[in-house]
Amino acid sequence: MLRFGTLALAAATALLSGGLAAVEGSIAGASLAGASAVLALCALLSRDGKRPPAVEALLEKAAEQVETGRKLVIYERETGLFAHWYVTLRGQEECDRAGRYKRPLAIVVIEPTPQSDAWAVKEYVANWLAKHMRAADVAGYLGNGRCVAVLPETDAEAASIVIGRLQADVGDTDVACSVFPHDGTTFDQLYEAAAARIRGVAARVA
Amino acid sequence: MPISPFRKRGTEPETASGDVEEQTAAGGPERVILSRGLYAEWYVMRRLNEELERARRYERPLAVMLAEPMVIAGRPASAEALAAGATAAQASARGSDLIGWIAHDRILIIMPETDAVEASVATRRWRDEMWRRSQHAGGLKWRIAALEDASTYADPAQCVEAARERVLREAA
Repeated sequence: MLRFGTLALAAATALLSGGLAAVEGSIAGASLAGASAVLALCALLSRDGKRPPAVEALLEKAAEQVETGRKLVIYERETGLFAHWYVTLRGQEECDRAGRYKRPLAIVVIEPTPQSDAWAVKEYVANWLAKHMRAADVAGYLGNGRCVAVLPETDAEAASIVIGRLQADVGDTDVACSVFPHDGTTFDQLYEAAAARIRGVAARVA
Repeated sequence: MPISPFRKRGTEPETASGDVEEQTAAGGPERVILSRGLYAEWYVMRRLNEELERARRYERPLAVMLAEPMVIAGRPASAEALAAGATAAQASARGSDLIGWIAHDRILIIMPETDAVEASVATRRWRDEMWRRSQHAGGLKWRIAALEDASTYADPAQCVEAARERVLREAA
């Protein structure tokens, strides 16, 4: 009886959180919570550890959905670029690798200009990055319209070509870059250097 | 660059709480890409794909190593023995190596900027380390082989398959 009550409570909680997540517009949250609810309900339907084939199939599908939901967490859901935590993790990995093997690395920070329609520009920038980045590049969205791209095997000259193309295609953006090891040897240092340049560009325009 | 299915959704402004909510649902951000102390299979295969493309594009050396537990009399390796293998793998890795689980009990090590000579040195080192550690954790033995020139393989699955064949050949 106690087991039944606990499972029922777990199912109800998962369903409720799934509903709330769906209302708030979080697909991954709703998917995860919904799938968790299915898992809990399937456990309820089990008798003596044996499950009917239909329940077994449902259970398998729910587990698959949970797995899919987990994988989506590396993305920022609005832009489709990588999430802040992931781009920071990869950025630091790339800095360590560039230092170890003496390879070039550049970081590009992109922000809509203060005069522009920030939401529209953010959309264009995200589209452009998704379309033009190479397989080894890591582009993420940091919030407030600001994107960052980690470009391995890219020196200052090559980064300036990327920036030129971006500004020609998108426009209305302030873009700055920093290069390893000249501007810093960690992701934080490189990001700070590029962000300071962005602030400098914005101040000059103002 | 790979893009998420979220991209197809509407254009309403994002909220920071949305990310936190998703991450909390998964039990914290880093846990999503980890499994039993190493990278999860989906993530390590994804990274292998990136590394293959990168090695080809910039003509850089890339080696892949596969460690496979020796199953005795059909008995699967214990969780403790696998954990000891994972710890040994981590202890032997360089900062830029990527280590993850493949097919539950095999360990895949992606070694960027590693040529054939370095790969053979690394294989010896890994073999010794995993042998040393496994003696204290159920005596699980690992078969290890490295695949140099990994970038010559078309996709990650072929690359892993070739590494597996190398492991079996060396064991024979």
